[in-house]
Formats: sequence, structure tokens, C-alpha cells
Amino acid sequence: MNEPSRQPPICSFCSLVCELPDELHDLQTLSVFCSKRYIQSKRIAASLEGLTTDLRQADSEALSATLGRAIGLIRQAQSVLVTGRIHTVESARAAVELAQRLDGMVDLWDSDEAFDSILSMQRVGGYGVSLGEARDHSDLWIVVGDDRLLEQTPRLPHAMHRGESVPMLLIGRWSDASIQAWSEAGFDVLCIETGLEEIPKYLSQVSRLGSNYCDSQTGRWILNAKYTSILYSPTALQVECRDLWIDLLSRWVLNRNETTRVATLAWGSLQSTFHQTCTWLTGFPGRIRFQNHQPSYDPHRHRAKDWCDRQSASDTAAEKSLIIWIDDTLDDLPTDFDASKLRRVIVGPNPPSTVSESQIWLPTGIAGTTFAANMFRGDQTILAKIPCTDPLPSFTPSAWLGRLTR
Amino acid sequence: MTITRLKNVRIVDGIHASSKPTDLYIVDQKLARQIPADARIDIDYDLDDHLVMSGGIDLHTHIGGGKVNLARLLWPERSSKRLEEKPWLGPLSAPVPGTWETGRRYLQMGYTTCFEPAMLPANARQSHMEMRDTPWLDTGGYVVLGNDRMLLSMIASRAGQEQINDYVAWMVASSAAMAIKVVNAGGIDAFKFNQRQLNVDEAHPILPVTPRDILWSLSTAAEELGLAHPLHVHCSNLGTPGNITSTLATLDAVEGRRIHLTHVQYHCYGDQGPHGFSSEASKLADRVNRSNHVSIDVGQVLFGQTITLSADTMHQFANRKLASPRKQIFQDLECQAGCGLLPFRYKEGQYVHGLQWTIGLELFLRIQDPTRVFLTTDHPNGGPFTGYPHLIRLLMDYDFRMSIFDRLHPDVKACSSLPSLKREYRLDEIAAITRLGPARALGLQHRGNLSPGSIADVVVYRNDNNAETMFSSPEMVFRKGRLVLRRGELLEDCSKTVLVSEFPNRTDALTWGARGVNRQRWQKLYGYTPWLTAIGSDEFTDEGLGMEHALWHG
Repeated sequence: MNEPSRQPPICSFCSLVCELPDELHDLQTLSVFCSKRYIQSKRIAASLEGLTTDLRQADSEALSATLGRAIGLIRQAQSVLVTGRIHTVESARAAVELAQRLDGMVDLWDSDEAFDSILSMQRVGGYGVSLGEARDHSDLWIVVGDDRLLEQTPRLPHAMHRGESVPMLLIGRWSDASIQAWSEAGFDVLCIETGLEEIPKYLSQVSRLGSNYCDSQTGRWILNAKYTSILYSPTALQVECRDLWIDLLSRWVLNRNETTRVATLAWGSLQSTFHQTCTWLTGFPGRIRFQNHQPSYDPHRHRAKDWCDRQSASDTAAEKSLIIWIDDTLDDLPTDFDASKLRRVIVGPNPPSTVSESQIWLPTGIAGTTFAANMFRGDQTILAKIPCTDPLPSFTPSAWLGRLTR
Repeated sequence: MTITRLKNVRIVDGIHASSKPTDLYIVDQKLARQIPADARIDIDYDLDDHLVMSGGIDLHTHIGGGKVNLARLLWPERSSKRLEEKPWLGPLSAPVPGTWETGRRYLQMGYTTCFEPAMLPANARQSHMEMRDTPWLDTGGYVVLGNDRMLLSMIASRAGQEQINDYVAWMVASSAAMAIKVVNAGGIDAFKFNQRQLNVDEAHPILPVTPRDILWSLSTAAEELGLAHPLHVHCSNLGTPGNITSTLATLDAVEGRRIHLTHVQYHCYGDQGPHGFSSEASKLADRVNRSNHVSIDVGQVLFGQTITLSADTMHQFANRKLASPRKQIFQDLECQAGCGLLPFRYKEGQYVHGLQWTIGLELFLRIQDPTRVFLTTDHPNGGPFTGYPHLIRLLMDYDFRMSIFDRLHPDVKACSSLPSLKREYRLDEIAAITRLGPARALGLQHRGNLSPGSIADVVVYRNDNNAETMFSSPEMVFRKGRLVLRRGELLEDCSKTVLVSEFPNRTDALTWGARGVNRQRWQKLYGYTPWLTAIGSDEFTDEGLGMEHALWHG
């Protein structure tokens, strides 16, 4: 099974976790299909070699000293937040275990959109479909959102298309380029520019009142479809009260299934890998505070940014607080995080702008390049193993986090 | 070499009957009855008035995979109320707890090996990853086939059995599975085309395939490939009054090949009586008693709150209005299967729930060979696995059983034959339904018994007249020779092993996926090559897990 010819190349930076045919490996072509991989690759100090050489040549004594200082900060801290941009099972597992050992809090830095979807599911549930099933089975796609969906996963239209023309209702604010991208992938696109808030209500009225209410092409497609898939991404959904909007949509979908088949495909972001892993370890998707090593979940109170605000508000609290930031990306630190004056240990491939006694950096390589890792496809059905090409096992987030509490 | 002696213990494993206290030795990771005269005993425990069993084996418990994780997500309420307000959860924080808690609770009952019975091929890596994160337990899984469109189209096009065997071997090996599970054969896929029921001889809505065809093909494949465990079958028409007909038809469909029927409590209902719902447990038990090639697990219902989860979307959807609290999740997955989840509360005073409770017990009490009927609640469907000690007491103590029976709905009391079943399980029979039988059914020769050479997973229980007390709090648990738990306190971690099936009749079980024509078919159907989801054995060794291959020993 490990013969090279059997291992498919996998793009490690796109939440599609798609496989790329060999001929697409040069970056120029790749940029057309997956802007993320292209951007990430460009950012590695002109070349990947630079990063791996730096890590290989790193002064082990200096790193040990840095690790010692990080451990010192942890020992001094009375309140710890483990957060960051965590996109692999391995980093997520290490982050949750660390938070448990330290009786700290754990939450992703930017998970509001994903949590809207999670909260809705916890209240109402829903009827979902995976990408492969929808691709093979749907006779109508309803895609709700805006251009950001394609920016996040440019290859998604190709992955959704099964090789024959399928009707698609495109709802939301889509640029001409995006509409063209959907059409070129092979869908029979009808674009409706409307306020997204009205969509659940509109769908309910069409299905209740039938052709008496809506004699348009849109209505006929909805009424005649035998398997409708509704695609949206919480991160590309500009509606007020997103979680309530998802509630309404989910209720319509559940009711509609009394007579036909309808399902939603909520396209998760890269963050969904953390939420899944945290759920199986603790029973909760994140926003956890450990007390006596037992998780306590509060999606409204245990939010990473709120914790930072609370701790920063008082000098006494700030002095006793520590953030452990774990990064599986090569992006710059978010500005709102960078502005925080709390002490921090940063575990990731990119150095912070300044390194000091209160801001310590533990360098890592990159998932799928210097270490193998597991990531979920955006529909959270397939967990793909991303093999690495140039292994540096000592420089993984999980290896550092293990050393921090050893 | 480290030698541990368990002195003056009573051995109970369903094979060895010892009325007198004896000594059991643990030599490194294995068991022994004798040691050389000059050997030094490193650790000695005098365990007068204790009995020992091998580590418990749960061959059907939902502990890892997409739907299990959804069930965890669906139950966030635990932090909002105090635990004492939720006594139905027993020692668990939720009906489907996280992996850390699952591993701890199983070990605290003396269980050491568990099997996830419904791994979707597309999702098998996640299942194994979750089980990897379940401490103290050795684990394995069964791959769900029989609703995958690839197989259905092969059967529909009358592909030869050899081709089907190749495909099944690939699916089992690439999912790192122990066995094949079929859930409502063809019914999950039929539901995607809006069909609401599929009987054993009814055709799929778009393919010329019946459940009987699927059961025959898969049971033949399991037998011809020499898989350790027979076809593991969740029958058609789960929970439907009168479904005994399709359950017996399922047994007929495999034409005498080995078969395991799972959570049969949900599959032996008649449609008689005041509510159109009655017990047919005696009919199924008679059939099992006459058929040596059949094993079953019960899927006992225990009263209280739980979450039901199943790949059987068709019947979960049919029950969706019974959800309590009122929320539910359904999914159609990768042209391979689906899942449905409903929170559910079994109530003593409710007729159907009460009758389900009696039917499960009837099956235990009517089936004579305890090595062919296994103790399960189909966790979490009939109730959380932490109810096992309570269930054992129900089997061992007639008066206790009747004290609960007396609280059931009057119509249940009027029509059930449970009071006439005076059988009380003996300890060796408990060992058989929780250890020896499951190990045999899974081809695990060195587990489930205390024979010399077996793996030293040993549980020491203090004798107690109350079986529930005894089985919920073992005095000691040894894992692979090391003491990992004493009086409820966890002492140390232990190495973990993944259990997979041997392929005695194949040199390479992965040939199907390596053929270009099959890769193209897969790519066309799923949108990716089969190797994206295939699990390499190096994935386990890289994680520090051992692997054990199971083999059917006849």
C-alpha cells in the first residue's frame, strides 16, 4: 500500500483535501486550481528549502533554552488559554491534551462562524449530505453564499460535478467570474440575487403552496427535484443571526424529507478538523475550560477572544495569564491577537515580529511538507492522511506541546 | 522476564471449572498455570475469596466514527445541569461520552477489547483515529457494506462471486477492518430514492437487486475469503411490528453459511396483542438453538435516556417523531450508507419500551448455548454500556428481574412469558456471554479465556452476592500483564492493539484497488481514487499501536 505509485498526491492546504493529478504539480498551474497552496508555497521565504534548512541547522542548545523559558512561563501562569489556527488532528489532539493537563481553556481563535453552525445543530439537528453522495445523486443544487466560498476552495465546483449537466440555483452575491466558474464546471446555472435572509421562508412557501405560489423556472426546479442538495459555507454566509438562519433552513429540510429527499451540505472550513477532534476527545467541539481535568463547555463564555479581553482588562489578571498559540498555517499572526499584551508561547512555522521574554517562539515545519498529518475534507466525512515529503519529526506542533508538559 | 502470581483465585472463564482456589501466573504479557520450580515470583497477590475472569470483550459498541461524533455533538446539555439531576446517565457524563471517558469507564468494568460495528469505508480512518484515542482498550471495527453503490451495481450486473470477493477483500483490508457488517441490506440506498421500506425479497427502486441477493453475496464472500468473523447483520425492518418474518428470511438467505445477527432484540417483533406489537423471541431463540452456524448479540434495552444512532437512515427517519428531546440528525454518505441520530428515552411505563426490555431478556434466557449469545446494549442504542453490570444482575437474579418487571405497563405483564423463565445465569455463563463467546466468534484465540499462553488481560472481582456491585467495581485489572487499575483507581496507561482480520485465502487483499479499471470506476463514482481513504498499516505503527490478526479456527 505504500508504493509511491499508489499514494495520491494531496493538496494539504485546502479544506477540500482534494487530490491533484500529477500534471498539476507545477505551481503556475496549481494557482488556477488552488490559490491557497500557491500562496502558502510562495510565502515560505522564497522557497521551502529555506525553512527546512533553517530547522535542520537550528541550534539545539538555543532551542532547549527557549523551551526552558516557555516551561517557566507555563509554571508561572495561573490562567492558560490554548488557541490558534489548528488544522490537523495531531495539533488538535496535542492542544486539547495540553489544556487538560494545565487545567486551561481551549478554543480556536476565530471560530464564530463555525460555532453558529454547531449551535444550530445542537438545537435542531439537520439532514446532511456528503460531497460524494451529492455529487453522484443530486438532480438540483442550491448554492447559497458569495465569492468567498470559491476563494476558500477554488476546486469545489469541479469536485461537485459528475460529468453531466445538473441544474444549479446560485443564490447570494456572486461576481460574474464566480458565476462563470460554476458554469464552466458544467452546471446549468440560474443566478438569483436576493437577500439571503428570505431563503428559508421562500423555500417553505414554494414547497407548501407548490406551483400555485411559484410558476417560475426556480419553483419548477425545486418542486420537481428528487434529490436537492443545498450547499453553503458558514464562513461565506452574510446573514444576520446566522445560527437562526441555519435553524430555519434545517427545519425546512427535515420537513421536506417527509415527501422527497433534500439535504444540506454545510461546507466546513479548515477549522472543522479541530472541532471534530476536540469533540471525540472530550465530547465538546471547543470552547472548553478544564477544571480538575474535567471539561466544562460554554459556547458563549469560553470564547478565546473574550478570555483575552477579560484577562487584559486587569493588570493583575494579565500578569498571571498565558496564551499558547498553535499555528498550522504560514499566515501572519492576526492583528487582534498581535495587539494583545498578554504573555505567549507561539508554536508555528512563522516567527512573530518580536521575540522577548514574554513572547517565545518554538519553530515548526509545515503539515504535509515536513510532517505527515490528518485533515478533514470540508464536508467532514473523509479524514485524509497528508503524507510529507521532507520529514522533520522534531519540529511538529504536537512534539513541542508534548515537551512543554514533560 | 517478570512473573506475577495471583494466589488462591477462582478461575471463571467458561472453559476451566475450578471449585477450589488455585494460582494463576502472569509471565510478562501472557498467562501460565505453572512456572519452573526455580523461577522467582516478582509480584505476589494473595486473592483469597476473589475470582478472576479474562478481560471483557464487547463485540458491538459504537465508540468511533462520524455518527458517534455527531451523537456527542448532539448532547451538550451535560454542563448545564448537575449530574444528580440525570441519574439515568449513571456514571457517564453523557449517553455518548468522549473517547477518554469511554476508555476509562470500560476499563473500570473490566472490559479490555471493543469493536466499533459500523465503519463507513470513507470514514474508516476517523473511526480508527477515535479508537486510537480511547485509552486502555484494544479495538477493531467492521466495515459497512451492502448499501455501497459499487457493490450493488456489481450484484445487479451479475458480476461473478470471484469479482465480488476481490472487492470485499479490498474494502475490508483498505479499511483495516475485522469483519463485514451489513445494515438493512440495500435499504439505506433505497431510502435515498425515497423508498420507505425494503423487505428481504423486494427489489431496490432503481437496481435489480434484493436484500436476499446482497446477503447471499456478502456471506459467501466472508466465507470464501476466510474472514475471522462471519457476516455481521443488522436485519431489514428494524423496530417494525412483525419484523420476525424478515429476520427469519435473513437467516434463510445465507443458506447455512455462518452468520451473526446483531441487536436481535429489535428484530423479533410480532404484530399481535392489544397494541399490535408482540414478542417473537421464542421463535427466534428456537431457530438459534437449532442452528449452530448462527450467533447473536441482544441489544438489550435499559430504561433511561440515551441517543440512538444507526446507519439505518430509513428506520431512524421513520422514528424521528419519537426523538426526546426533539432534535435529530440524518446524513447520506458517499454512496456507501448514511446515518440517523435521535435522542431517546426508554420508559418503564411505556408498553413498547417495556416489551422491548422483556424481549431482550427472553432471548438471553431462551438461547441455551451461552457462547452464541452475547451481552450488548448496542451502546448507546439500547442504553449506555455502563449498564452492563445492571444487566448481568438481571440475568443472574430472578427476584431482581421480577422486581422491575412488576413496574412495567399492565399489558406487558399480561402478555409476557418472562415470569415463567426461571433460569438464572451462572458466573461461567456470564464469562461466556461477555468473553469466551465473543472471542470465539471473532477468531481471537488468545483472548476471552484464561488458558496458558493467552494474553494476560485479567480482571479480579471480589465475590459479592450482588452481581451489579461485583461487576461494576473490579478489584484489579491487568492489561497485557501490567496492573492498570486497582479499586477503581487508574494506575498507568497501556499499549494498544488494533485487531484486523487475516485473509487466509489471499496473498494480497488489496489487488482490486490497484487495478486501473477499478480505480477509474471508483474515481467516476466518488470523485477521488480509492487510495485516498485506504489505510496503511504504517499509520498504526507510526502511532505506536500494535496489530493483531484474527483468524477463524473452526
